[in-house]
Amino acid sequence: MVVNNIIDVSKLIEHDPLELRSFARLVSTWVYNTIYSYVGNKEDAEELTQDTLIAALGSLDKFRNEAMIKTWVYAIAINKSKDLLKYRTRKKRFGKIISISNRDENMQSYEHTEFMHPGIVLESKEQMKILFSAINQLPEFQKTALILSKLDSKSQKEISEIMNISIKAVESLLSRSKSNLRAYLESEDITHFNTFRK
Amino acid sequence: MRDKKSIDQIMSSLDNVKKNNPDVKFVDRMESLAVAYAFKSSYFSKSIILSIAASLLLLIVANIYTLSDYNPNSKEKIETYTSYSLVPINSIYK
Repeated sequence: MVVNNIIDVSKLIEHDPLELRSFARLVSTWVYNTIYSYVGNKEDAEELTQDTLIAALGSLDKFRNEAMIKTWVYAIAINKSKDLLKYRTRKKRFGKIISISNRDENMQSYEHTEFMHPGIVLESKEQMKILFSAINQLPEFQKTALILSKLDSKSQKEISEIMNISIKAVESLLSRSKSNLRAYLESEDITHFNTFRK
Repeated sequence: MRDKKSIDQIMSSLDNVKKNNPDVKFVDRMESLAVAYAFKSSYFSKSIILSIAASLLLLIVANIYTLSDYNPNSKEKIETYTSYSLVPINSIYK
């Protein structure tokens, strides 16, 4: 049984149903918000959270450091989110080539997704839409650090463990991400929440 | 171009994002998924699937080998029939 977020990996490897259920519950509460902030929609967030759980269960026998399981699961979730965004970026580029050659208007439909973040109150939705558009334009590392710090309330130590970098590097990433964010907001008129731009 | 005040406002809204928790139904689904995955991986592990596949292959090979004896076009079979026909019927029913 999971007590205070401490997971018994040996019980998980033995497929103890109680431990498995607790682990699944923990994984979903840990990474769902981070993935949501990354991909920007509920369906993808749920699918990637499931993928993260399966990936974690699939390689549990190789994992021995029980204290680091949370950061390990986070790293899986972030990689999965990045992979999805990369895949979509490729698809979008390919889609543009097809649309140029075929003049198919439907291909443009996945360029912008509807901005829906349940954690945001209605009156600040417009501001958040602009903010998330700017976050999506940040370089990958800065974006990850900012999401973990601001949207997932992770400490710099935790971020450094998840991203496998030093605390100083996290500090620098966060400060650069904020100044870049400000620069984007100053220079561009961002009107759409575009998940696929980095 | 935005003014400084509106940019400050947007930047400060970053601190007001509430943590987004998954639906209860989704969490239930995740729990069942974990148990189902564990069941599947324990009963259908790679070694078990490989051993089942190997025994099936062996069975098929053995069948082909046995069936080839009963092939009526096979030269060997014709010879067998010939040898039977050579046995004098009288010697059996005597």
